[in-house]
Amino acid sequence: MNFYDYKEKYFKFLENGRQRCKGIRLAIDAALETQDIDNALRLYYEFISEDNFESDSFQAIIIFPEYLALFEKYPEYQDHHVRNLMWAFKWVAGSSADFYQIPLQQISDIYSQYESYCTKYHYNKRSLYRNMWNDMLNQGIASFPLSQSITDCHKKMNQYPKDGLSEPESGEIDDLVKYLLFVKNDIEAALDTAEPIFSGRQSCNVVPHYTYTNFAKYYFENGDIESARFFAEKALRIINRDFGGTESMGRYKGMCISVFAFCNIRKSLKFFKGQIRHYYTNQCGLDNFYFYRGAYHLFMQLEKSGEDCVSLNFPLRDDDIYSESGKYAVSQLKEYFFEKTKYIADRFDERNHNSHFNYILTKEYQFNE
Amino acid sequence: MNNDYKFKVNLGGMIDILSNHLYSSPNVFVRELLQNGIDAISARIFSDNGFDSSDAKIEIEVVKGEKIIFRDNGTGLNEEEIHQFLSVIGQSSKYDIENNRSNGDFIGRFGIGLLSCFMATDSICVRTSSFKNPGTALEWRGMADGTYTIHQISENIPVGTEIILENNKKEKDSELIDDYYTSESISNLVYYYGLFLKYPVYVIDGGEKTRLNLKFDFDTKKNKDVCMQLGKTFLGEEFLDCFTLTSQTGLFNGIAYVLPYPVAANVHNMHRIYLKNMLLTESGEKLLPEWAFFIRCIINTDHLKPTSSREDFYEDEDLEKARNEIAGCIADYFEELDLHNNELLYKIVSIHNLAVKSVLSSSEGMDDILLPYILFETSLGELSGRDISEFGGTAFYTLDVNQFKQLAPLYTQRSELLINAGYVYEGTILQKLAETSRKTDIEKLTESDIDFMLDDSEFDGDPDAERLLSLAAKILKKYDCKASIKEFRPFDIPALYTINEKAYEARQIRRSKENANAVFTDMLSSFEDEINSKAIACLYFNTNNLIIRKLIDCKDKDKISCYIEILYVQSLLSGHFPLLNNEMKVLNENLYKLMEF
Repeated sequence: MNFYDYKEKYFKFLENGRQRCKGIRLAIDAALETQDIDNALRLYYEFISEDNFESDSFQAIIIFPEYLALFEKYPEYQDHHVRNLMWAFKWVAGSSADFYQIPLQQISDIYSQYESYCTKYHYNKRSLYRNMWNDMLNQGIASFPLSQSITDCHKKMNQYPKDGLSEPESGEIDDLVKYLLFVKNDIEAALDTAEPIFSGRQSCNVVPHYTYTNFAKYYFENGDIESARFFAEKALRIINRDFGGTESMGRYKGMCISVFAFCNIRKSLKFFKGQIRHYYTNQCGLDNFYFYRGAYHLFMQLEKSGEDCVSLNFPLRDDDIYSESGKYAVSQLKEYFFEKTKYIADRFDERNHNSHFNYILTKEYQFNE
Repeated sequence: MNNDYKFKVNLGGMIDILSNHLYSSPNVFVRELLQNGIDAISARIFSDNGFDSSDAKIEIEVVKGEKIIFRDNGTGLNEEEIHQFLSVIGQSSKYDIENNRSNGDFIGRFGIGLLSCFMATDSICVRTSSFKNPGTALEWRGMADGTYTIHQISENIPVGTEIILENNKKEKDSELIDDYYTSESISNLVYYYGLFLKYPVYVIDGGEKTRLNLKFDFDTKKNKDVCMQLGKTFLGEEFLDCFTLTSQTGLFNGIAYVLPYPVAANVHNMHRIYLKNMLLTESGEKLLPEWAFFIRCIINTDHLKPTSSREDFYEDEDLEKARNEIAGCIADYFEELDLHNNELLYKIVSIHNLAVKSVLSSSEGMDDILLPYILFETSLGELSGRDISEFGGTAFYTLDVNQFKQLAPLYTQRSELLINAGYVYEGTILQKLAETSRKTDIEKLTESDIDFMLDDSEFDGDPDAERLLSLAAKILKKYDCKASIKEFRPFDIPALYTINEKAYEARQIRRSKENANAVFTDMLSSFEDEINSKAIACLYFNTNNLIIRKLIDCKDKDKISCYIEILYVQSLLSGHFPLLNNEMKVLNENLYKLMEF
């Protein structure tokens, strides 16, 4: 069987994300059973890529050690598969901090191992430092053992040229925009830098919607709801179209829900209703944090607007809040999502030894009408 | 040193770039000349109040094997304009650019169109008389080596421009060029590029003058047969149906055709796209929404911005708006069919089930129309969204194809509804159906639903059955699996293994730990506590099954233990759960033990 035979038989028509990963898992087992190592390695990569882009990255993290072990066991296949393995390693290392269950020391160990693989297979450390400053930014962590600060880490990243593990040009621009917005607080430079993305000259599977959401987040955090709305509209259009049916992009979807909660509450509610089911199965703490915080903002604003009750249809049957009638009190939902967000914030802050997530959760937003 | 230098342009190199890289075929010189003519006419209508637009025309005279003369009665050019526009590459003569007084009717944008003629000749002769200086005629002659001459001619030619291409190409493929110098090939190319041009285009051959283009109405209701025939001619398919594409904001008009066979979602359908009634490309991909892969179209747009290769459009807000409007046209079409021809709609959905699911999952506004027609695989056979909504009671769906395969026979036996929502788009659509269904509650299947669906066993309370259960619970504990006794049909299923998502994840973690190095073993362990606390796995013994009844009667504890472990692994296999190393080992060990008994 070649790769496409496996695809046809096991996962071609399955729903993206979790379900397709299950199909790929069966394909991997079928390949391993017949000692078809070449395709097994290819399928592991397919699995990790699928989970990374279409779901919450949790399954990718779980399966990666198996992939790595198989890669190590069969040196004769390494030349052919090393690039895939290193990309998968980069994604997994880059996702590990998004799961509060993994202690900082272990994240650091994973990065150390990633660094040693980079060295062994002749990649430079640009991707390592890129992942690290992103983690520090997302987690509000002042430093990892390997570097002193975000700025320092960013500087170190730029000391290395782009290589086979670098982001595509659109991703590099998006990264720089994020750095300018959230580290340098330089909106003018960020807008200038983003021009190739805004004009449509640079795009990839995560750009421009990542970039639009980052601008929406920046303006939202800085009290400019109209500008936040402008960018959230653009982001939501793409996210809803391309990722509306998946568990991925929780942090971006959540950000859009937050923005619209303060400027177009019906849109916020509608989008939330369509997405909530994904965030009962999503395992990624960071995604869930922003999604639940968006829900908290939404129900807080609904309560302020005088709405008492909303109807929701989502699989909450195992949860205490579940209502047979499908009707829920807005105040109850506000409390419920606050508690869910708070739980995650506490876990992250405990792990990170800071109060970054609790600060984000409890920050109050006042926008001019 | 601070000297200024100017770039030098190698015209031959430029022509090579045009013919081999920018344009897909030398044929495009016909398109470029038609375009120049149309733009010149549009400019004249805009600028020359004395000109009657009904007189506008393009004539193409062909002297077989020798020359082609393209003639328009547009603005013409004066000497200054000739120097400025014909002789400077990259500068368009289009009035909108220079004078900022456009009526938006110009097709060209890049000022390199005339250059494309060098793909068919080594010399271009332009004879022109400007409406600004009627009675004065000029001749410009440009050569492929980059030189040109210009002089006034005594001949009195009418206002407008004629471009004369001589069959004098000296390159190795010049034989192929000969083909262009016939009225038949020129007519075909005009028909190909300019069928919908709004001004008449004539070909003159041996004194005979024939009109090549037509004034076309894209209304499929009025001209259904003609439109279907047009689709067959230009898109090469016998389509299932067609409908009109009309933009409320004037961005486009055209015809959409429904393909008569299913297509994969990743197939990029080629659409025939016209820009201001001139063929831009017949391989356009970007204009339609991504989900509309079951449709091909012939479409004209006056406002979208073509890329420099002129074979697709820039991704900008207008393109996004056009896509949304096209999506609206498709929705209107489905709504119309729902009201007046639902037989055809059923047919379309049955052929394009996957595509229509994609429409539903990624767009809004079509739920009410299309949801009733969507087909789902269920425990009671293939049912439509309407059937499911009308079913009544509770219908469950699972996102796991293997769980569906495992459980569907149980639901079939009970005439209960279990829906397979594991294939692409189905989860999202079932969610939408659940929101709109009035008679049927549609819910995602959970472990407790399965437990509830299985009947209590007549052996409940039986001491032998209790003994089996107690032993099973003890043995299965090491697999983090509970044991239960139930009765269910079909009778030939001895045991059923079910797990929730967390238990599935817990199994994956254990599997990965079997191979992980120290760093990753620690990482995997950090997930275990939280996941294990929510993991539920259960092995249900079916007391309708003879093996289980035998097992209840069996007094040999060792033998029972063997069978329990074998049944456990067998249930994992029949549920398509990947086995852990120790589970495969257990199966082999117990089969060996059985041989020893």
